[in-house]
Amino acid sequence: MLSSISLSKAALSVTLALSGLSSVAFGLFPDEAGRIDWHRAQIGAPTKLIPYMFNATNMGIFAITSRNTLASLDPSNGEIFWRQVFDSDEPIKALRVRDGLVLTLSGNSESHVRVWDASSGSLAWGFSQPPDANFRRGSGAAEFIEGSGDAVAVVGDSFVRLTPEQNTPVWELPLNATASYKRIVVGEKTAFVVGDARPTKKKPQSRLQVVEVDLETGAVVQKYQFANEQAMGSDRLVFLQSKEYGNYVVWREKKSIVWFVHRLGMHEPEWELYHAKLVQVELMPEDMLTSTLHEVDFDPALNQDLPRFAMTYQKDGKTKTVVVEMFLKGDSQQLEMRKVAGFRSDGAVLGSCGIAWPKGHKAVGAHSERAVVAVRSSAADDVSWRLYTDGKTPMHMGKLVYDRDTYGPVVSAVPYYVDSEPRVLIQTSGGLLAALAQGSNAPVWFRDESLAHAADMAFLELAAPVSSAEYAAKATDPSVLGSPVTRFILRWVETLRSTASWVTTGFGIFGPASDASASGEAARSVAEQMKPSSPIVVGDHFGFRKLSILGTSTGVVAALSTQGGVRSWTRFLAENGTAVSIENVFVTRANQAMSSSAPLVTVVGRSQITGNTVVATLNALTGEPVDSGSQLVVDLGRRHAKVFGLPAVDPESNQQLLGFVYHDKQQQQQQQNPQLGIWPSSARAVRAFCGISQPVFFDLGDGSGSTQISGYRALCPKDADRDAWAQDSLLSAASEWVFDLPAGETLISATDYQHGAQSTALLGRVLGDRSVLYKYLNPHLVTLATRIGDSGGIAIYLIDRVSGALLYSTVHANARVTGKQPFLAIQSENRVIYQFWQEGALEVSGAKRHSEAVRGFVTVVADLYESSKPDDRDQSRVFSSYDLLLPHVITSAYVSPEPATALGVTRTGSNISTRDVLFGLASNKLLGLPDQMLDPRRPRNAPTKDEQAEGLVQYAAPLVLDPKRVLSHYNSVAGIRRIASAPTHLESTALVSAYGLDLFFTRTSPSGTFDQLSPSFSKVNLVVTTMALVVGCLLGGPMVRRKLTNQAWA
Amino acid sequence: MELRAKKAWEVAMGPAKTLPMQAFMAWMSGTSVSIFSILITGMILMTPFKTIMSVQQTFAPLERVAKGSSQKLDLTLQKAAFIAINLAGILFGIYRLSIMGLLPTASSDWLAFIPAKAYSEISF
Repeated sequence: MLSSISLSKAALSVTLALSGLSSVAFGLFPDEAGRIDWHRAQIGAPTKLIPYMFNATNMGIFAITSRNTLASLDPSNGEIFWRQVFDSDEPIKALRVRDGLVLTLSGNSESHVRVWDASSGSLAWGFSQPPDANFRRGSGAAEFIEGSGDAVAVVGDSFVRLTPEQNTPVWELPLNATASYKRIVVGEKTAFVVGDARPTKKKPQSRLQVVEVDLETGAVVQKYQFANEQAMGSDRLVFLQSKEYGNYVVWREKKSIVWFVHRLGMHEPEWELYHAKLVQVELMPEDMLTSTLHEVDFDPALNQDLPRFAMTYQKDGKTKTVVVEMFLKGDSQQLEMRKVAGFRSDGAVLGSCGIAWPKGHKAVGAHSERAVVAVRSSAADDVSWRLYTDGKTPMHMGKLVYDRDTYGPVVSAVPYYVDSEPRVLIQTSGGLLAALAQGSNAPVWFRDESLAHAADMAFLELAAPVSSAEYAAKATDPSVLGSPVTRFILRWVETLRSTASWVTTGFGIFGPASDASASGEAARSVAEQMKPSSPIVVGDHFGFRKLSILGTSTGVVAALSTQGGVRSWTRFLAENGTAVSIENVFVTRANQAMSSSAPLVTVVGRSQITGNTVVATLNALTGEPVDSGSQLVVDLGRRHAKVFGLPAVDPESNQQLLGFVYHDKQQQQQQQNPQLGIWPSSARAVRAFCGISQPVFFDLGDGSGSTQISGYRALCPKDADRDAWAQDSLLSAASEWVFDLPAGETLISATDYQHGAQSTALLGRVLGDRSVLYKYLNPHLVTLATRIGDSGGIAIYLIDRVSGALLYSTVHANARVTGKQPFLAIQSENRVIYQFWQEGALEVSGAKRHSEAVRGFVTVVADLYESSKPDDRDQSRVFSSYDLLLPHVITSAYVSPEPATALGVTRTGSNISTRDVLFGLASNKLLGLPDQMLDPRRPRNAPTKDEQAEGLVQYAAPLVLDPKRVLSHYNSVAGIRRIASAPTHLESTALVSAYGLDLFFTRTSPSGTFDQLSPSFSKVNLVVTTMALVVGCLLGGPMVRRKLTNQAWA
Repeated sequence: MELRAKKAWEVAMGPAKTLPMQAFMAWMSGTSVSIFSILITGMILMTPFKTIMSVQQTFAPLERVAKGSSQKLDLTLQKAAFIAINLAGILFGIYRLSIMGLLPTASSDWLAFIPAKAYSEISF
């Protein structure tokens, strides 16, 4: 007896000790930040890359990108030192780096010259030129003035000298718009502004125009034109700059075999001739006609040395490149040129490092810092690079093994040196940026910047892991899966195996702890391989792990796991070598666990060559083409106006049908109706389309700037026509309605429901007195926003896309919609949310809501109900747009402290959980606000008892952006353009993905994690407690029986 | 005999005395849906129900004229009054359920069972 008491005591103490231990172990769990969410900081595909040593010890790779980002990358690992994201309507046109400073020129109508600190990325000083009436698009250039810290720039219609000391230009010279100036060459005392002269009646030829300007006073020294039939940016024209030798322009006329050399500032004589044969003996006249000229110093103004350029020509079917150096011969000051390097360059991309080192910090070592790199594809799946400094033989060489089907061909290359070791930075048309070194076939580092150009995203459901054993069996011995018994056994084997591994890894206590050690900043930035070892095919029990398939405008389709952002596969889509600009991604065959057919993803894009619609279908799990025999990218031969997924399946390929609307402008003038194409296009597919029980409607003219929206109904062909269906046959459409905007109004945007946003679990809104306001749920609802004339103000129209009926309209007279203050809208269930910039009193259809003037971003919420009276419902079981049921609309307006760049809503499996409205903020945050906060039914006065019962709180105009609701927490998610959401198997939880420049992914539970155990729940405690109770029962049972027996005898 | 009938009336009126007490308890527990108010309401509902069920047993000792005799007193009126009073108790319980909002009498209670509308057109 004693022993049993001590035993139970021991069990208790063990339990306590274990529970204590376990809580210590759980205490080691890192915060969930960075574990359930992930973030890829990106910069976009660079348009210019300058590796530059900005001080004695530090080097950065400075980049401006087509996603309006200025960034400095670490040359040793490619990490972002710093980045500055410019406004979406502010492209960066020029980049210069000098003496620890970075100079940028940006903007379309408004020009901004900014100087940044090269090491920190902070703004040193800047200057902005307001929009100029005489501004010529395409003009714009900026340069530092050596030694003074000042800069000169072509902004708008003016040439200005800027200085950090004052806000206004030192001098400003109007250029009178006689040319679009694209280049500034800074000499010792004067600067040359060079551009394409505007052709006039007198001089219809294209010529270059030069304005020589005194740097001190801004006075025009001289202005002249030269170089017949030449244009800036031509591949037969180069600029050469040298302090010592002067500044030159060298060009070759189209049918000429000689070089024309013009010294800037000297127009008498206008040019000298130079025969290239003096440089390259083997050049014959016919070779010369094939030649092109390239600049090799990417920052020529830095060049203290001999100016250089490269020429590429064809000889005997081979491509050759020579690097030419210019010098002045002896005392005679006679211009001479000599060959520095010459090599074969078939199909090569050339790149060079100019002198990107500040004075006194030239690269050390035997090699010259003025190297030219030639990168060419040597085999199907690799590229080789050769670095030439002089002569025929490369100084360094190396190669990179990579699959061009995943990242596309190399489009640019820049060599640089890290500790005297050469590196070659290559960029592919798909958006890959990789640094290569000698002696390795793998890159030193790489960044995949294609995802910064993501245009669309689709989620693919993955098979649950319980069937992974079945999945494996399917691959090896599919007959095993025939019987439910073997499937049952397989599942049990899988469960036992996972349990065993759980036990051997210490009941999961030590697993997460080891994760914790790796959960630093480095682990959070998404680590990946150039080529993923194996595609991700198995999901998890809760549906948290899916594939997010992104299509980018750089032609890349990439599948990333929603867990950790691990890449599953990547494919580069090109048509004749040119990347396809992808616009839409559709999952056209879902992942079916027991089906032998693979899931499919169909991407729709536009050809960059013809502008036609292109379609490609891939295996969604592997990224492989479905039919390896035929062409992957199919050109449909027409341009589509609209594409959508149809609720029908092609009987042949078992994939969802896509509908393409074709409507070319010429036809529109002739009042012809658009046509509908089906993909895949076959007689059986059209039969499947015609089998859809409801008529199919679509609208057109919903693009920005439109003044008329029209609705059409797709018509099915007659049986005979169906049988004679050809690949490129089209269905006709009948015009149903036309919605003309009032005079002077132009469309800003048309918003409809995002996929799944219309479905709801509850058909009505329960009020405090338990009556119901029935929701107006119309899947055909479209929110139109229009600009009213030039005076500002917007009008909102809710229309029905089937009948064209106007359901509701309102006017915001003081709203302003511009590029910087865009209009955003989203529809969710019976709610429309939109945001705009407001200046003045807030009026909603004439009724003043706030007497004070509002200057800020206003979020308006409109809820649509079937009736204004509770318990009043349209009794019909079928909703038809032709019944013309008008909604009762309740609206409310809120003032947002900061603008959003994208709106979204969360989606859960059954739509039972409340929804969060997701705001991608301009301050690089992703915010989730609960639906209730935006409720238009919030009372203006203190809520009554019924209103309290309904869960309403008193209305307050400011929308509180609670920092606790920032889903992106400390991550700076830059440039969010779209927000996508997908449900999981847990009703409480939704997956959320924000993309644009950066890519951010997380999951959120708007109503709380009511169907999950909290992370602090101790399974070990539960097991130990249960075991202790069982032990207690086993020990206590005999004791009690003995006591009862003894009592019976007493 | 009369004494028995009188006694039976006393028994029949017995539940009526508990009604004010139950009403007071109900008032004290409030109309909010909480464990206490639900317990009280359950008691208010169950007690008269059980009592009605046991109406025969309650009046059996008073019905017998003599030990062993099969002759019975006619207590129908008393029984009816007894049942009526208990029914009043049940009604009071139901009234409490309704003011607590536990009776599915409002349209919102049937909202989840309303079928969603089908759409006769599709549009893109």
